[in-house]
Amino acid sequence: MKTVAVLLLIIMLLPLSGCWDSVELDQLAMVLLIGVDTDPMGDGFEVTVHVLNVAAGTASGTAGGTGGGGGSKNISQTLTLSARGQTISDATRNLRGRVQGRFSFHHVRVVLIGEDLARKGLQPVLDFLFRAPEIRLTSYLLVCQGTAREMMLLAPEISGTLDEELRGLIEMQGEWSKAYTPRLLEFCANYGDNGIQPVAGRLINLTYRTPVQPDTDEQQTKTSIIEGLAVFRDDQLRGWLTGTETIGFSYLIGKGGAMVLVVPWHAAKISIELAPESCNLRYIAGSNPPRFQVNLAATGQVMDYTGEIEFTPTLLTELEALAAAMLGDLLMKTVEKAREMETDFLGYGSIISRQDPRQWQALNKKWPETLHAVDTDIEVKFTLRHTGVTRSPLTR
Amino acid sequence: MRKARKPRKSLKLWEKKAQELEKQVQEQQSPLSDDFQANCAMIDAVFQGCDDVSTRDFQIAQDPPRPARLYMLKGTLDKTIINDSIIAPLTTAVKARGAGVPDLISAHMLTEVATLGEAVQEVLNGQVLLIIHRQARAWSVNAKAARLRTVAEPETQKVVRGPREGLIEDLETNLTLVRKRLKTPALKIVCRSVGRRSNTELAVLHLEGVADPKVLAEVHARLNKIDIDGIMDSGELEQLIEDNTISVFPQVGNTERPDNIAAALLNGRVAILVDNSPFALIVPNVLTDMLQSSDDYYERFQFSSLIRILRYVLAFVALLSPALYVAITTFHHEMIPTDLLTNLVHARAGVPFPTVIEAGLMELAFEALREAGLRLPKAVGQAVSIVGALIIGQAAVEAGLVSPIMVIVVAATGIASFTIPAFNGAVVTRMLKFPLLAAAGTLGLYGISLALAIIIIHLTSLRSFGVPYLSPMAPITISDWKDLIVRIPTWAMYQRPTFIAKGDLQRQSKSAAGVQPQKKK
Repeated sequence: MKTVAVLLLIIMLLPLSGCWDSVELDQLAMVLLIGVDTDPMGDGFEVTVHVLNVAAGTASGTAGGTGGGGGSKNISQTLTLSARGQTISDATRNLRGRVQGRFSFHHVRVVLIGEDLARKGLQPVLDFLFRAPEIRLTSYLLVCQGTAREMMLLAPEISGTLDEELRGLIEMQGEWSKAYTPRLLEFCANYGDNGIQPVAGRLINLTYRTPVQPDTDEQQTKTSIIEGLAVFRDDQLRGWLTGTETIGFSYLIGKGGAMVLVVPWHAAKISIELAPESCNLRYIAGSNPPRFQVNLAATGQVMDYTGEIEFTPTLLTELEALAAAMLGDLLMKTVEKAREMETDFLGYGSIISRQDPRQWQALNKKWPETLHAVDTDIEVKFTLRHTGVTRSPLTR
Repeated sequence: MRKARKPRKSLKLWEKKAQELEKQVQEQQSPLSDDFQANCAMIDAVFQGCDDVSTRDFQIAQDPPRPARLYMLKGTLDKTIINDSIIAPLTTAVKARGAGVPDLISAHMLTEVATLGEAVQEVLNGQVLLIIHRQARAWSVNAKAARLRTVAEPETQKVVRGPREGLIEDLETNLTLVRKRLKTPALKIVCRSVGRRSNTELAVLHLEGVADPKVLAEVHARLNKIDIDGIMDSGELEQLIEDNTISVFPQVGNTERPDNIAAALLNGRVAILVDNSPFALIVPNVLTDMLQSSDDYYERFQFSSLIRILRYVLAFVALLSPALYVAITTFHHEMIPTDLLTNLVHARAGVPFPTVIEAGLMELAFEALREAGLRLPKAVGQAVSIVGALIIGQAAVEAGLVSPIMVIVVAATGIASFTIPAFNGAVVTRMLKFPLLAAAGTLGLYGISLALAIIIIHLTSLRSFGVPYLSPMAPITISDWKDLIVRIPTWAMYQRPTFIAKGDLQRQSKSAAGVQPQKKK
């Protein structure tokens, strides 16, 4: 009897905790996208977030509306909020006054950084993101050309929310390789390593004209695209890589996807879709100044051809050699860019440190200032797998 | 003061009655005398006020004629047997003096009775009692008429493939159904009775050389200890003989299927059949028995194994899904994929109750519907489930009282609990999901882990007639896993379960498995 009474008392104690950790889902202010800029009015930061609009789903099942709110009649899926503060945490806490419900940063999957802030230095942002247990280090890091806030006011075009759209763009970028977006963890790891400089995705603001209806005037639509690369020196933005240079970058670090190479050939053009099979960037042992050897093997197929010559085995061999040379040039341009910027985003330093730690100890102090002395030999092996379903061009 | 007196008075009354009963028992043990009139008077006195006991006086055709009397219960007897096999041979033909009663009566079962108590019991058991002048004994003749429910398909343990026979309320028929499946003298059936007033017959079945003698002895020891006035169903007996009487987990299995009983006996278990109950008890019963169906052995092993795995998964779904839903959505929403969480948030917008209350209410409503459907006639029961599940559920969601996801969770829980083959096992998940829900609502996943830990500690401490309740998982006997989560092919099951059977463990000899695919030479 006594034990039963004691057990009952314990059971009655349990609800006294008042479920202090529990948050009902509709009490949740779920942050989907976070953008950080320098404070335009002062010394600190401006944090912009997209918070999931709880009421949007109940009103209608259709995904619609604008991130910024206003203008559209549909209820927006997200609310865009900004707040300023001396530090990032201060700024996020200043958002408190605008949202009911408990903030949850668990579901942030994309982090946007304004260009100004990136040039000033990312260290305060990185420390916040790395320290906060709520932030997933698997989130993607993008640097905006312009401010993050401006980007976040853009309406998503296909998806319900902007973060979903950005994530879709990032996840499919292996289809053209003109963009590369690292995860937060990768950025933080490279930030701490002198042998490799961190990079981030590059988000570009774009305005284009679309006719709304056949008879009406054209309307200007603003949108964002992810192309190219933001290159950092330590935590400061050093410059941008174009889409083509980004192809070279992603191939050289061995994370390349598919790409389309346009080869001028006998007064016509051939598009070849190719993908790397293997790419090996290695330090030639003992060389000083350091020399590097790149071995790239790629395969591809003919996608289109504007000429009228029928492919023959000898012509195909010629085409392969031409494409290999062009691919080599493409990679070389990225290498040149790294030398020019004196920023070791390709990770030459870490390759030396892995292969020859002693040599690296000597080079480390002067790195990456001595990068311009580094030579790179590029060897490309390209195999044309097939010419599509036809061998002869489509002619009259 | 007055109030206190009342129970004492009734206690006295009870004591008096007990004394009377004691006296009656003593009287009943008194032997029959050779005085015909005295015997008849004694039996008449016992049956005073029992108008369903009828008598028939006649003279045995002897020289000189001897008076005799039949005692029998109205309505349970086959009139032709009484007329043609008892009365006719005794009254018509003149018999030689030396001929005994067994020579005269042509009924197939005849037993001698020496005491008054036995004689009375035989009448109550539906036998015909014959008392003859100048005989210090009586004879009981079996003249039972078959007035029974026919053997029909069992209602509770349906199978797609397998015998359609189910037990009925008659013990003898049930024993026949089992004996039909195990035609061996090793199948031992011990009949005994239980209940001071009901005198319910029951039979303890085991396979000699296969069943564990310790379990068998334990069964008899526990049956000996029963001192109750009456037992209406084997379910009552189960509660009197189980190891842990307050645990929610059933430690005695039950089945309505004679093929299940036979299979259990072959595995070395002991079966208890109770008269007037179509449910046989099977001991020892372990946790995983609740997730096994006789179908598993009749279907081919691949399918059976898949279905069994599904059952294990669904048992956890039935037990945990409301609790997990509550814990994850209110404490650990970072665990949910973002897209799913977005959906959940939208679905829950505007629901006025906390999730744990919402889940509790919906589960209660579901249990209410199930109970309502069970008690009502079949046709009405269906209407209740349609009105309840479809219309009320839909209306509740549209009114914004519950979220549609919660309806899905509750429905999934319900359907999952229906897949547990043993009803007493399904009941366990239905009961335990509520404390788990409470734990989830107060402490989240941590609470669920605590509650599960308590349940597992309890399970490991349970025994069913000496056999650990979690065997063959704890204590682990790998060789018995062949029939646990998956069922290996029948030809590969050489051994009986070693945690139950003792003695002859071999089910089939390895060399005799000639039906296995032979390799071409």
